[in-house]
Amino acid sequence: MLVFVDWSDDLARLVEVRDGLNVSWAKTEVNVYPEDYGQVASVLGFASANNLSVYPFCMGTNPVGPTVKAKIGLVFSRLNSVLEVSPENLYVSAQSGCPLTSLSAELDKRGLYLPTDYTGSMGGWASTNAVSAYSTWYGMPRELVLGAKICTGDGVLVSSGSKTTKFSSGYKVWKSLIGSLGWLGVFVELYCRVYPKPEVFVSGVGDTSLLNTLLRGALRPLCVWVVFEAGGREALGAVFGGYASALKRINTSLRLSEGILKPPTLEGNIVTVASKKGLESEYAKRALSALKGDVAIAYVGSGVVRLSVKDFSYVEKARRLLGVPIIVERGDYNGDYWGYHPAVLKKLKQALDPKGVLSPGKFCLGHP
Amino acid sequence: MFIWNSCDVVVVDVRREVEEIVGARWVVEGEDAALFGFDAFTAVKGRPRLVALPADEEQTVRLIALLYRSCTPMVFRGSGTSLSGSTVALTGEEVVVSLTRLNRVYSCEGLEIEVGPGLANVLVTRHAPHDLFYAPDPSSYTVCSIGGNVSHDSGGIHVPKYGSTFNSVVKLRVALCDGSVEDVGGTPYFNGANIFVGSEGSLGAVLRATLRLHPRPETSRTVLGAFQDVASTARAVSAVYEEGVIPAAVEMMDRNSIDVVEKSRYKAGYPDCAALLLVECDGYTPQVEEEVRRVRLVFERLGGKVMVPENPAENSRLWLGRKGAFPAMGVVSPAYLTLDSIVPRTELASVLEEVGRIAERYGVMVANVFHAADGNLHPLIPYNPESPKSLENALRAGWEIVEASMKRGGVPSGEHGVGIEKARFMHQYYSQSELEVLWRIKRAFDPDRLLNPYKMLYENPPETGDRVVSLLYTKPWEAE
Repeated sequence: MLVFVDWSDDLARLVEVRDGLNVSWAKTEVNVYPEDYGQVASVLGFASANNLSVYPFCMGTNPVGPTVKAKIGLVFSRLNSVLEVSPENLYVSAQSGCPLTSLSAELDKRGLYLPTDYTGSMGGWASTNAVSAYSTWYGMPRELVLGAKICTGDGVLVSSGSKTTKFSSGYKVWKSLIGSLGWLGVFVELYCRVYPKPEVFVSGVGDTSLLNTLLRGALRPLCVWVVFEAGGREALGAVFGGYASALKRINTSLRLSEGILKPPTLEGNIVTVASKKGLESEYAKRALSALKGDVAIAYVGSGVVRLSVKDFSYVEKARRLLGVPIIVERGDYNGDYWGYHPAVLKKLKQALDPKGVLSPGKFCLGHP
Repeated sequence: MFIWNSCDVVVVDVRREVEEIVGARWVVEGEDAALFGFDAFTAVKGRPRLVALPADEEQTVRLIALLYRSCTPMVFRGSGTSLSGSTVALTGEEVVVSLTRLNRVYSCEGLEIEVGPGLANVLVTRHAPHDLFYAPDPSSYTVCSIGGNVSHDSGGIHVPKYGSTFNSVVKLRVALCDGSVEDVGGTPYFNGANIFVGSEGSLGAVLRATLRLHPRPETSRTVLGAFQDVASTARAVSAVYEEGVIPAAVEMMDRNSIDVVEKSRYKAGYPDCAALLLVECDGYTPQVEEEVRRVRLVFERLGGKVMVPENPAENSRLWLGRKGAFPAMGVVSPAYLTLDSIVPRTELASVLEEVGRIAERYGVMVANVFHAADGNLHPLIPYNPESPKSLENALRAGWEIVEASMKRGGVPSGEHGVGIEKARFMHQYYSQSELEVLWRIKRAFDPDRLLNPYKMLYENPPETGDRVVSLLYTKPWEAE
């Protein structure tokens, strides 16, 4: 049943309005379902003009940070198309609500792939700058998103970046939105770099003593991760991709098998820790101890470590001890989820969401 | 010199206060300052009011705060190799803040190296552990500095595999106009460094950059393909990728650029052809061997003649010709323009045909030598620096090339930045509402518009009295 509030009738003239959301990661009074970019702009323009808070989301598979309470839930599920796949130019363009599973299926038909193991929508992938095992070689969405159509908090549609591999023609607005969790603006369409799918994938598991050889040696694996458990167990995994003739000549003490092995999925309370690139294992061990965590995964080469923890009692202490950003990614925490509040982020907020309607409280304490 | 300004009621003897911060020895004025008045975009020469060379981060921050407080426009500058005129002090009011003395290497751990903005690109790899290297390598890499690379998001020949400077920037320390310093980036989720890369010194100054290093490849092999028509050459670029090859570099040279190189000290012994491709494959040896085999097959299938250098000397010679193609232009002209618009790879043949027609229409020789895998054109257009008419002719030809690229889904600049050179295209490439969003970002960081004025964004053209400058700032639809 629709919740009637004084502004919802006006909103319903712009876009379909339905009941809001009441889940652990977001609470909204109503949800809206735009079917084109103009409707997204209209909703945000309306919200900005009427000081109504907005929480953009799609599949809700990977919520990050504190629970958001907003008047309007902006749902991207109907903007879900793959628009263009270009095997010659190695890019794909898709709407932000497109599930990565659908995108991967389309790419697979053309012998291409987007190197990530994220499950969720394109917009979610970019907005969370989601780390994955593939970040070792290919980087994160920050590196893979070539350009986008975005919408600012006050409803201005902007094309930023392009489908080309390089862009030095104005501020990289779309890159600033990557990882900003919908706090600065929203993606409506993304252009991403894709790669020819390797002829063969080979995965290996082995001892962590092989880490340096894998990271800095000749083999250049696509993925390397190390899992640390509280009891002291450690395991290293790696994935190689390439021509069959080449991969059969790999000489390593890893136990190899054909296919793609994935790192384990973390459950429960999750904390993300920033690391120097290439030193993720050291940071993971220190963070596991400082946070009294259960499991830590070092995504080698990415600068990111993720841990599952029983609770968040040690977060502040760990921040002081390790001196690096430690973020409460998922779970109820009554402290500061981020621990850092860059002035640059606030300046961008002022420029891109001047009324502060998007994802209130998501990023900075004391800032909309 | 005393100034009274509208943006802040502060009366400051700028010259004296700058000297107090950096020391008299590091303040340059008059004729000597003219040396800091131009960069590699040779069409425009500026007149810095003053040049200050701070010794360290602390001096730089104080200097920026002073200049901002006193409403003095400023231009941040490194080695002065910008090809878009981003470091030119255009109006004569700007103080040039030269960051060349901030050239320290602070640390190197894991896959990261932390350096000052004044460090030359080439020195990053030299300071890295022997098994790692810094990938972005613009053609001026022996002299261009990291601060400039970050500010322009510079590329180079190895972008196809390793990405542009953006992909190698992990973190930045930036000085903002209010004298605050912020360490941005190096964080999961939001990365505050993103907005500064390619911002051409218009949002703040880069004081320090943490850069990503890559493992050195075990093997690196070159394949040269010589083709009898440009269309097949362009087609071969996409075909290489269709074979599953991810080359480290794919460079294209047309007949004009080959002729120029062969007449110069960079002579490489290239075959007589309409165009050639130089492809570099690197990485794990068995993978590279297979890639080389496939690249050869692609070239042969498309009618190309294939050369694979048999020894390091031959390999170096082939690449020296490519890397020397810009300076080799000296054999045909003392000055030339270098553009860098970019198109999707599949548009290469079409845009190159159009470049040929434009060259014919303007009566100029255009040499094309460029990053083919990125679709990043580098038409070199020679002009006579003594003849304003010759320069104007070259500029107009260049503008048409940029427009032809944009019509084919491309963008005005892939790696040189907008600067002065392409400022006029901002009004063509972006809609008015999009430009307003860019201005909102500019104003959030630089409310008084004192950081690198008239570069990338401008409201009204600068009043310099220089005909070339006024031509460059004429919006396309206002042109005669």
